[in-house]
Amino acid sequence: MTIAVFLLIYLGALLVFVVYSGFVYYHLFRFGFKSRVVYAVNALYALVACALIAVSLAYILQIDWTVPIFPSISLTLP
Amino acid sequence: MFTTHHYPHQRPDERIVFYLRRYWFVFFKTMLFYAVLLIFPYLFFLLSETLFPNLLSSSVGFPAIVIGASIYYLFIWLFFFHAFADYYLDMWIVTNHRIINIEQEGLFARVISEQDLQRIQDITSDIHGFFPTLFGYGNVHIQTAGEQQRFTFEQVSHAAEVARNIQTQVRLCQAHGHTLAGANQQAPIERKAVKTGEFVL
Repeated sequence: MTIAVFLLIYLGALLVFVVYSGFVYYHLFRFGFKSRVVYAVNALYALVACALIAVSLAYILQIDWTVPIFPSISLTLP
Repeated sequence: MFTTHHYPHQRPDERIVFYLRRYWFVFFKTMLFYAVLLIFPYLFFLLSETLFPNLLSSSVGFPAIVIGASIYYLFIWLFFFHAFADYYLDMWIVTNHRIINIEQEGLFARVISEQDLQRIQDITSDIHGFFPTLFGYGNVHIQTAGEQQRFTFEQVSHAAEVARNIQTQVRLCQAHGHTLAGANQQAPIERKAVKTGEFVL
Protein backbone atom coordinates (compact mmCIF):
# COMPACT_ATOMS: atom_id res chain seq x y z
CA MET A 1 0.00 0.00 0.00
CA THR A 2 1.40 3.35 -1.00
CA ILE A 3 0.77 6.79 0.44
CA ALA A 4 -1.60 7.42 -2.45
CA VAL A 5 -4.28 6.25 -0.04
CA PHE A 6 -3.97 9.71 1.55
CA LEU A 7 -5.05 11.14 -1.79
CA LEU A 8 -8.19 9.03 -1.69
CA ILE A 9 -8.96 10.36 1.77
CA TYR A 10 -8.36 13.89 0.48
CA LEU A 11 -10.68 13.34 -2.47
CA GLY A 12 -13.39 12.08 -0.14
CA ALA A 13 -12.99 15.14 2.09
CA LEU A 14 -13.12 17.40 -0.98
CA LEU A 15 -16.33 15.78 -2.09
CA VAL A 16 -17.94 16.36 1.32
CA PHE A 17 -16.66 19.95 1.25
CA VAL A 18 -18.16 20.66 -2.18
CA VAL A 19 -21.51 19.07 -1.35
CA TYR A 20 -21.85 20.88 1.98
CA SER A 21 -20.80 24.17 0.38
CA GLY A 22 -23.54 23.61 -2.15
CA PHE A 23 -26.09 23.25 0.62
CA VAL A 24 -24.98 26.53 2.20
CA TYR A 25 -25.07 28.33 -1.16
CA TYR A 26 -28.55 26.97 -1.80
CA HIS A 27 -29.80 28.25 1.54
CA LEU A 28 -28.29 31.70 1.08
CA PHE A 29 -29.76 32.14 -2.38
CA ARG A 30 -33.11 30.53 -1.59
CA PHE A 31 -33.84 32.15 1.76
CA GLY A 32 -31.60 35.19 1.93
CA PHE A 33 -32.52 38.74 1.12
CA LYS A 34 -31.11 40.07 -2.12
CA SER A 35 -28.14 42.24 -1.21
CA ARG A 36 -24.57 42.98 -2.19
CA VAL A 37 -23.38 41.41 1.05
CA VAL A 38 -24.65 37.98 0.04
CA TYR A 39 -23.10 38.16 -3.41
CA ALA A 40 -19.80 39.45 -2.01
CA VAL A 41 -19.57 36.80 0.70
CA ASN A 42 -20.44 34.01 -1.74
CA ALA A 43 -17.80 35.21 -4.19
CA LEU A 44 -15.22 35.57 -1.42
CA TYR A 45 -15.96 32.08 -0.14
CA ALA A 46 -15.48 30.54 -3.58
CA LEU A 47 -12.27 32.50 -4.17
CA VAL A 48 -10.68 31.54 -0.86
CA ALA A 49 -11.76 27.90 -1.25
CA CYS A 50 -10.17 27.78 -4.71
CA ALA A 51 -7.02 29.42 -3.34
CA LEU A 52 -6.79 26.85 -0.52
CA ILE A 53 -7.20 23.98 -2.97
CA ALA A 54 -4.66 25.52 -5.37
CA VAL A 55 -2.05 25.88 -2.61
CA SER A 56 -2.71 22.31 -1.49
CA LEU A 57 -2.34 21.06 -5.06
CA ALA A 58 0.99 22.88 -5.36
CA TYR A 59 2.29 20.89 -2.41
CA ILE A 60 0.60 17.65 -3.49
CA LEU A 61 2.22 17.73 -6.93
CA GLN A 62 5.67 17.87 -5.35
CA ILE A 63 5.15 14.61 -3.45
CA ASP A 64 6.06 11.14 -4.71
CA TRP A 65 2.86 9.19 -4.07
CA THR A 66 4.37 5.80 -4.99
CA VAL A 67 6.27 5.57 -1.70
CA PRO A 68 4.99 2.67 0.43
CA ILE A 69 3.39 3.55 3.74
CA PHE A 70 5.16 0.77 5.54
CA PRO A 71 8.72 0.42 4.22
CA SER A 72 9.74 -3.22 3.57
CA ILE A 73 12.29 -4.75 5.93
CA SER A 74 14.98 -6.78 4.17
CA LEU A 75 16.66 -9.55 6.13
CA THR A 76 20.25 -10.38 5.21
CA LEU A 77 21.99 -13.49 6.30
CA PRO A 78 25.37 -13.03 7.93
CA MET B 1 -34.05 35.21 -2.97
CA PHE B 2 -36.31 37.56 -1.09
CA THR B 3 -36.48 41.25 -1.80
CA THR B 4 -38.32 44.12 -0.16
CA HIS B 5 -41.13 43.46 -2.62
CA HIS B 6 -41.17 39.68 -2.33
CA TYR B 7 -40.92 37.91 1.01
CA PRO B 8 -42.66 35.08 2.94
CA HIS B 9 -46.46 34.98 2.69
CA GLN B 10 -46.66 38.52 1.41
CA ARG B 11 -50.12 40.11 1.38
CA PRO B 12 -51.37 42.29 -1.50
CA ASP B 13 -51.16 45.69 0.22
CA GLU B 14 -48.29 44.88 2.51
CA ARG B 15 -44.99 46.74 2.61
CA ILE B 16 -41.85 46.23 4.68
CA VAL B 17 -41.27 49.00 7.22
CA PHE B 18 -37.90 47.67 8.30
CA TYR B 19 -36.06 44.42 8.81
CA LEU B 20 -33.33 43.54 11.26
CA ARG B 21 -30.57 41.08 11.90
CA ARG B 22 -28.40 40.48 14.91
CA TYR B 23 -25.86 43.20 15.56
CA TRP B 24 -22.60 42.77 13.61
CA PHE B 25 -20.54 42.37 16.79
CA VAL B 26 -22.30 39.07 17.51
CA PHE B 27 -20.91 37.62 14.29
CA PHE B 28 -17.54 39.32 14.90
CA LYS B 29 -17.09 37.14 18.00
CA THR B 30 -17.68 34.08 15.83
CA MET B 31 -15.09 35.38 13.37
CA LEU B 32 -12.56 35.73 16.18
CA PHE B 33 -13.19 32.15 17.23
CA TYR B 34 -12.46 30.84 13.75
CA ALA B 35 -9.42 33.11 13.46
CA VAL B 36 -8.00 31.46 16.58
CA LEU B 37 -8.63 28.01 15.08
CA LEU B 38 -6.51 28.98 12.07
CA ILE B 39 -3.45 29.23 14.30
CA PHE B 40 -3.48 25.61 15.48
CA PRO B 41 -1.75 24.03 12.44
CA TYR B 42 1.03 26.59 12.77
CA LEU B 43 1.43 25.71 16.48
CA PHE B 44 1.55 22.03 15.52
CA PHE B 45 4.24 22.85 12.96
CA LEU B 46 6.35 24.65 15.59
CA LEU B 47 5.90 21.81 18.10
CA SER B 48 6.75 19.10 15.58
CA GLU B 49 9.97 20.89 14.62
CA THR B 50 11.04 20.63 18.26
CA LEU B 51 9.57 17.30 19.33
CA PHE B 52 9.52 15.37 16.04
CA PRO B 53 12.21 16.94 13.86
CA ASN B 54 12.18 14.05 11.33
CA LEU B 55 8.43 14.16 10.82
CA LEU B 56 8.38 16.95 8.24
CA SER B 57 11.21 15.46 6.20
CA SER B 58 9.91 11.88 6.16
CA SER B 59 8.35 10.52 2.97
CA VAL B 60 5.16 9.53 4.79
CA GLY B 61 4.88 12.24 7.44
CA PHE B 62 5.12 15.22 5.13
CA PRO B 63 2.34 14.08 2.73
CA ALA B 64 0.13 13.21 5.70
CA ILE B 65 0.67 16.68 7.17
CA VAL B 66 -0.04 18.38 3.83
CA ILE B 67 -3.28 16.45 3.37
CA GLY B 68 -4.28 16.93 7.00
CA ALA B 69 -3.60 20.67 6.98
CA SER B 70 -5.45 21.14 3.70
CA ILE B 71 -8.52 19.31 4.98
CA TYR B 72 -8.36 21.23 8.26
CA TYR B 73 -8.27 24.68 6.61
CA LEU B 74 -10.94 23.79 4.07
CA PHE B 75 -13.33 22.65 6.75
CA ILE B 76 -12.61 25.61 9.01
CA TRP B 77 -13.50 27.83 6.06
CA LEU B 78 -16.64 25.77 5.39
CA PHE B 79 -17.81 25.92 9.00
CA PHE B 80 -17.18 29.67 9.05
CA PHE B 81 -19.31 30.05 5.92
CA HIS B 82 -21.99 27.95 7.58
CA ALA B 83 -21.85 30.18 10.67
CA PHE B 84 -22.28 33.24 8.44
CA ALA B 85 -25.31 31.69 6.73
CA ASP B 86 -26.79 30.87 10.15
CA TYR B 87 -26.27 34.50 11.24
CA TYR B 88 -27.44 36.04 7.99
CA LEU B 89 -30.59 34.00 7.56
CA ASP B 90 -31.94 34.90 11.02
CA MET B 91 -34.01 38.01 10.56
CA TRP B 92 -37.01 39.89 11.87
CA ILE B 93 -39.28 41.76 9.51
CA VAL B 94 -41.78 44.42 10.48
CA THR B 95 -44.34 45.26 7.82
CA ASN B 96 -47.34 47.56 7.91
CA HIS B 97 -49.46 44.49 8.79
CA ARG B 98 -47.40 42.12 10.93
CA ILE B 99 -44.12 41.03 12.38
CA ILE B 100 -42.30 38.05 10.89
CA ASN B 101 -39.73 36.08 12.82
CA ILE B 102 -37.41 33.94 10.65
CA GLU B 103 -34.95 31.68 12.43
CA GLN B 104 -32.50 29.39 10.72
CA GLU B 105 -31.72 26.54 13.11
CA GLY B 106 -28.71 24.80 11.64
CA LEU B 107 -28.77 24.10 7.94
CA PHE B 108 -31.84 21.92 7.58
CA ALA B 109 -34.31 23.53 9.94
CA ARG B 110 -36.04 26.87 9.49
CA VAL B 111 -38.80 28.37 11.59
CA ILE B 112 -40.99 31.24 10.37
CA SER B 113 -43.44 32.81 12.81
CA GLU B 114 -45.68 35.77 12.11
CA GLN B 115 -48.22 37.79 14.00
CA ASP B 116 -50.52 40.64 13.09
CA LEU B 117 -49.63 44.00 14.56
CA GLN B 118 -53.14 44.32 15.94
CA ARG B 119 -52.56 41.34 18.23
CA ILE B 120 -49.47 42.78 19.86
CA GLN B 121 -50.11 43.53 23.50
CA ASP B 122 -46.78 44.57 24.98
CA ILE B 123 -43.30 45.49 23.73
CA THR B 124 -40.23 45.46 25.97
CA SER B 125 -36.57 46.04 25.22
CA ASP B 126 -33.59 45.07 27.31
CA ILE B 127 -29.81 45.36 27.14
CA HIS B 128 -27.70 43.12 29.36
CA GLY B 129 -23.94 42.68 29.48
CA PHE B 130 -20.76 44.65 28.93
CA PHE B 131 -20.53 44.50 25.14
CA PRO B 132 -24.28 44.98 24.57
CA THR B 133 -24.16 48.07 26.78
CA LEU B 134 -21.03 49.34 25.07
CA PHE B 135 -22.35 48.86 21.55
CA GLY B 136 -26.02 49.46 22.31
CA TYR B 137 -27.57 46.21 21.12
CA GLY B 138 -30.13 44.11 22.95
CA ASN B 139 -33.38 42.16 22.80
CA VAL B 140 -36.87 43.31 21.98
CA HIS B 141 -39.63 41.14 23.48
CA ILE B 142 -43.06 41.32 21.89
CA GLN B 143 -46.00 39.87 23.79
CA THR B 144 -48.87 38.84 21.53
CA ALA B 145 -52.30 37.32 21.84
CA GLY B 146 -51.49 34.53 19.42
CA GLU B 147 -50.48 30.90 19.78
CA GLN B 148 -46.85 31.91 20.07
CA GLN B 149 -47.21 34.44 22.83
CA ARG B 150 -43.79 35.95 22.74
CA PHE B 151 -41.56 37.02 19.88
CA THR B 152 -38.03 38.05 20.62
CA PHE B 153 -35.81 40.15 18.39
CA GLU B 154 -32.44 38.96 19.62
CA GLN B 155 -29.30 41.09 19.84
CA VAL B 156 -30.55 43.83 17.53
CA SER B 157 -29.08 47.29 17.31
CA HIS B 158 -30.84 50.17 19.13
CA ALA B 159 -33.30 47.86 20.85
CA ALA B 160 -35.18 50.68 22.58
CA GLU B 161 -35.60 52.56 19.30
CA VAL B 162 -36.81 49.39 17.59
CA ALA B 163 -39.35 48.87 20.36
CA ARG B 164 -40.59 52.46 19.92
CA ASN B 165 -40.88 52.05 16.16
CA ILE B 166 -42.88 48.84 16.52
CA GLN B 167 -45.10 50.55 19.08
CA THR B 168 -45.74 53.34 16.56
CA GLN B 169 -46.65 50.78 13.90
CA VAL B 170 -48.99 49.00 16.30
CA ARG B 171 -50.76 52.27 17.18
CA LEU B 172 -51.17 53.16 13.52
CA CYS B 173 -52.42 49.68 12.75
CA GLN B 174 -54.95 49.73 15.56
CA ALA B 175 -56.15 53.19 14.53
CA HIS B 176 -56.51 52.46 10.82
CA GLY B 177 -56.86 48.69 10.60
CA HIS B 178 -53.38 48.65 9.02
CA THR B 179 -50.59 51.19 8.89
CA LEU B 180 -50.99 53.68 6.07
CA ALA B 181 -48.49 52.96 3.33
CA GLY B 182 -48.31 56.61 2.34
CA ALA B 183 -45.29 58.83 2.55
CA ASN B 184 -46.26 60.64 5.77
CA GLN B 185 -46.25 57.58 7.97
CA GLN B 186 -43.40 55.76 6.22
CA ALA B 187 -40.98 58.60 5.54
CA PRO B 188 -39.84 59.28 9.17
CA ILE B 189 -39.05 55.60 9.70
CA GLU B 190 -37.27 55.34 6.35
CA ARG B 191 -35.12 58.37 7.15
CA LYS B 192 -34.27 56.89 10.55
CA ALA B 193 -33.56 53.60 8.83
CA VAL B 194 -31.01 55.16 6.49
CA LYS B 195 -29.37 57.10 9.35
CA THR B 196 -28.88 54.15 11.71
CA GLY B 197 -27.67 51.86 8.97
CA GLU B 198 -29.20 48.91 10.75
CA PHE B 199 -32.69 49.15 9.31
CA VAL B 200 -32.50 47.97 5.75
CA LEU B 201 -35.13 48.66 3.16
